[in-house]
Amino acid sequence: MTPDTYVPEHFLPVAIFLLLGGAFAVGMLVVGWFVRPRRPYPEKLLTYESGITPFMDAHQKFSIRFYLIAMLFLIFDIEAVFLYPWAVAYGKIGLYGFVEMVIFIAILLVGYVYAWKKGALEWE
Amino acid sequence: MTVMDQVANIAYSLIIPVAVLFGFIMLNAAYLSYMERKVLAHMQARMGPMMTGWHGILQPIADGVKLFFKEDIIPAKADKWLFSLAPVLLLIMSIAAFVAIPFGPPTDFYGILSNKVPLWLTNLNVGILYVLALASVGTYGVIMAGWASNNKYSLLGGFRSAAQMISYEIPMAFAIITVVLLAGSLNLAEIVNAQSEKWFIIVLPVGPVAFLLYLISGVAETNRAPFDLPEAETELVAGFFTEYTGMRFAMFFMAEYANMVVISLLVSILFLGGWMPVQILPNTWLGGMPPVSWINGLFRLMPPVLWLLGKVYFLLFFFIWLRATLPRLRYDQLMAFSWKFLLPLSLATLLTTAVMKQMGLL
Amino acid sequence: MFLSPVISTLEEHFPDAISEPELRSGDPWITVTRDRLADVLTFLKITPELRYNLLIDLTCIDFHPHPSRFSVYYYLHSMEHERKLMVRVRVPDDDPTLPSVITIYGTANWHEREVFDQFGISFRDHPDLRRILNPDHWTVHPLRRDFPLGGEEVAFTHNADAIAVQADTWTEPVREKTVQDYLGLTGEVKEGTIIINIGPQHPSTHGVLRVALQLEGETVLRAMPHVGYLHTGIEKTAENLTYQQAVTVTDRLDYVAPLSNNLGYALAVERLLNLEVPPRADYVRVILAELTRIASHLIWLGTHAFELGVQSMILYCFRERELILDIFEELSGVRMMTSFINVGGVRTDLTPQFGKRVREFLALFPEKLDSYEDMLTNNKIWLKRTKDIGALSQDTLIDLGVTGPALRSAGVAFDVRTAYPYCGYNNFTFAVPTGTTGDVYDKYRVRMEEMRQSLGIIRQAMDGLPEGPFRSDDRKVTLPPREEIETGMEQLIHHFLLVSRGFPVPEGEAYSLIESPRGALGFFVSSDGTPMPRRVRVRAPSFVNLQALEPMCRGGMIADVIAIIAGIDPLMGEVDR
Repeated sequence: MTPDTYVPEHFLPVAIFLLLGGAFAVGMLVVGWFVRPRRPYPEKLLTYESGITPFMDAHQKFSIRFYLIAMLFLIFDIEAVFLYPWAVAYGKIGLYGFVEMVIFIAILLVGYVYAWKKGALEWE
Repeated sequence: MTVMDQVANIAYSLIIPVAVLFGFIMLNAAYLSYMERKVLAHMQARMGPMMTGWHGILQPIADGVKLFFKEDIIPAKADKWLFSLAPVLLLIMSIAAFVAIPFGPPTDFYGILSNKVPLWLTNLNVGILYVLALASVGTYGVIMAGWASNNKYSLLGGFRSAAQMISYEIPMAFAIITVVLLAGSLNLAEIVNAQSEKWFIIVLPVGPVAFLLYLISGVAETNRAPFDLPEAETELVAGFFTEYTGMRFAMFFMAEYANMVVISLLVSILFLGGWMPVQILPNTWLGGMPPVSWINGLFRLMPPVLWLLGKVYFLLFFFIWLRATLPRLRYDQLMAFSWKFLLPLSLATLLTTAVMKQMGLL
Repeated sequence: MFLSPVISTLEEHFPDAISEPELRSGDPWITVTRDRLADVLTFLKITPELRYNLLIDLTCIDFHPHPSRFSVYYYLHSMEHERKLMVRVRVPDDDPTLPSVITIYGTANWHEREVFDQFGISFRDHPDLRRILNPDHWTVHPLRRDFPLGGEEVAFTHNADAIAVQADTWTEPVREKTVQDYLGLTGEVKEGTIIINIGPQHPSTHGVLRVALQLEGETVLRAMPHVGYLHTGIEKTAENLTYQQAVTVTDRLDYVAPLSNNLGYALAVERLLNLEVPPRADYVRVILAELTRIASHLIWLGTHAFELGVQSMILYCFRERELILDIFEELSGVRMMTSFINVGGVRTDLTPQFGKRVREFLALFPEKLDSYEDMLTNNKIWLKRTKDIGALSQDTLIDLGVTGPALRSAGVAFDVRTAYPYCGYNNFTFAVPTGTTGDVYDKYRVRMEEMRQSLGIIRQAMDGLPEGPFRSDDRKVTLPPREEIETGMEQLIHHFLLVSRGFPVPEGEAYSLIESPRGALGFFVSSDGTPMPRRVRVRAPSFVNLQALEPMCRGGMIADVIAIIAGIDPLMGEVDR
């Protein structure tokens, strides 16, 4: 088996395991369904809020403070995606590949430093 | 080839390996809880489970049986579909990650089998990417559970999980890319083979740094202390799985333990030479003179798969050790730590590796 | 008649408002007319030579059926001049109102709510005059003397329908909760914020504290503590027990430091009785109080560390606390609710093994303490989680009436043991550890150092432990020895009366203030001349310190709230009483 070529059969066990995992999870619930008690009443079905009846719905507008960082994350994650094939082929592409990637990273780095200085990484 | 041969072939190449691997995952998921309780207990000057069987050895089974008999409560206000889907998704993803992991070189089990069989289910050429992708999808399970419960603690836990993911994933990726640079492949088996001379953890100066980066990110990915923010019980009661009961609750735990094993396997494979035995000194030291070569030869007597598992269980022990020792970070601190410290460090490691490779130093 | 320079100054400035000046156990007491109360208190606070800047206590005694029925007491302390003053205001039955003094002393907030709750005295201009300990919908005021013990009927059922059916005075009417119930605010909640409830059923609220948080993201905009979930009417119960019996309910206040409560209560009653306890009893009391302080701080350390994620610490702390509980068990046969310190001295003499065990503990503990510090003091994550969290300025803390380690961590060296020594604490040398900023980390350092100082005190007390009787030989208080009962008729009668009826205590009021592990613990006992107290008021340090939670939490995150609660170290048994 040479791993260099793309072989679809290699993904057969993946499919099997995905199915198996699903079947196992559902199976546990089904087996449990036969033996477990069912005694629901309204208080039991309330969501837990430290013993107090929940006051507001949890599904509402919510302030996420790390919004900017999430944007940065997307950029860097895409950068990482580019880096994987580059790293694999690094031995073959030589100095040209190296310089090009350095430039690529440098551009991102400037953006990162700018964001840091602008306070995007600060809380609040 | 007769039909019988074909059936036998499928049995050998698929059914038995799948069964063995699945059994391995389940055993680990169950008995890691026992290991965790026992190790923690002894670190904390107590005994841990002692009542079920010899030194409580049957405790995980008792727990499992108990959870089968627990009522399955879905809160009235919860989003029923997402609520049910979240633990299943998480469990599937953590189980499926094992498929691509090689446990050792092809072996004939000391002559028991007629020909050598590989100790992996599938040898993906993008193995490492596959495992990473599954782990990331698993995070959606956590966020989904947090949202679907319609519980404020769960919601906060889910958000924390998202915040945590965007914090650790990039340093983690860069640490892995460093390894890929060193090995020149995304294939896990090849990465191990590339370490036959020298484990990546001792490739100076980048190896130890990348190892630590990956280890820290790995702990964060499994939501383990000191990064157990999404489930921080002293703050968010149980975080994203506050509302889960019975078997669904058990699924979160199995997924967490399975994830711990995956991360330990990856750390071993990427940095600790996978199934390569320990070399106290390079074989060539003193011109391959005894006693170095003897000792190295002695280490080789242990089957490679046991070497890998030994490293894995040591790392699992290390995870538990962390939990017994360290306080929990606050999540803005975790974000600051990874964006202001881990990220630049990982980038520097990556560039150093590239430069040194370019100069022929590595 | 010259009693004190304070009274002279006051009489000079408020000739009409001041009456009944007197000296009680060294403290000047004055009575002020209702309409001039705010003026007098402001004057007492801002005049440089007086500077009574700490309102230790604000409470009420019901002198039913006296015509001017209620007396409200303001117990003041001056940090600068280290002296106290009791200001009393008489409030008639037909018009139970008083001006609120929140603007002068911030700490009066909860005190006034409590007086309103328990006695029905309403405070004008109080911004948030709701009940605090009893359920919101009650119409009665339980600590009034004409309210019978056990007058309330609480429905014990888990079935919400059944509760709804029998809704009357004693069960809460079912209604939608509003923002005000949570945050004490009226109106709509700001968009993008959520209100989340931490406690009473939560892993890290030290029992049943409830804090309603208004959050933006995870940042706390407002934190509203709600107390009263553990209110068991200990003060009311004590009014219906004899003086000696009431010791047992004081155990249940601060149940991780019960001996401190015993001591505070015993000192107050002894002050009323004018009773001297023999020196040996004082020494034993000091040893026990300091052992209790260590035991209590160990619980604090364990839970504090646990709540920040250091899971092992709590077990190490409990392991060492076990040794202290063993000593208590050795001494009294009981591990926690010992009631060992009671009126007149201590209950029994020391057992032969006691000294050995204490010395073993003294030898063992310092190195354990060092190992705890190894684990935490320089731990980077621990520092990150505790440094600069929940810091308030000295003035704010004093205004809010905060005492104990929480105050000392901000650099105010106020310790009742040195300011107003009791039990001969002035015979021992010990330092009062202080911090600088008052953040959670400083509180941690202060308490760790306090444990070391306590060890020193215990060592000195063990070395200097005098021989002699372990309790007062006043036969009106102390049971006669067994052999005397068998030979003397009078002793037998004394024994019979002491056991069946208790001893009467001369009419009057006495306040005792001691340093409990959580701060200044006050017992205010009023006697009407019978064997049962008219009123036992407990100034619980946790109750007062908890008021600082809101300003400490503001702007922090949820995780900080947990750290801050742990830093204040409230004990709900004592808060809710």
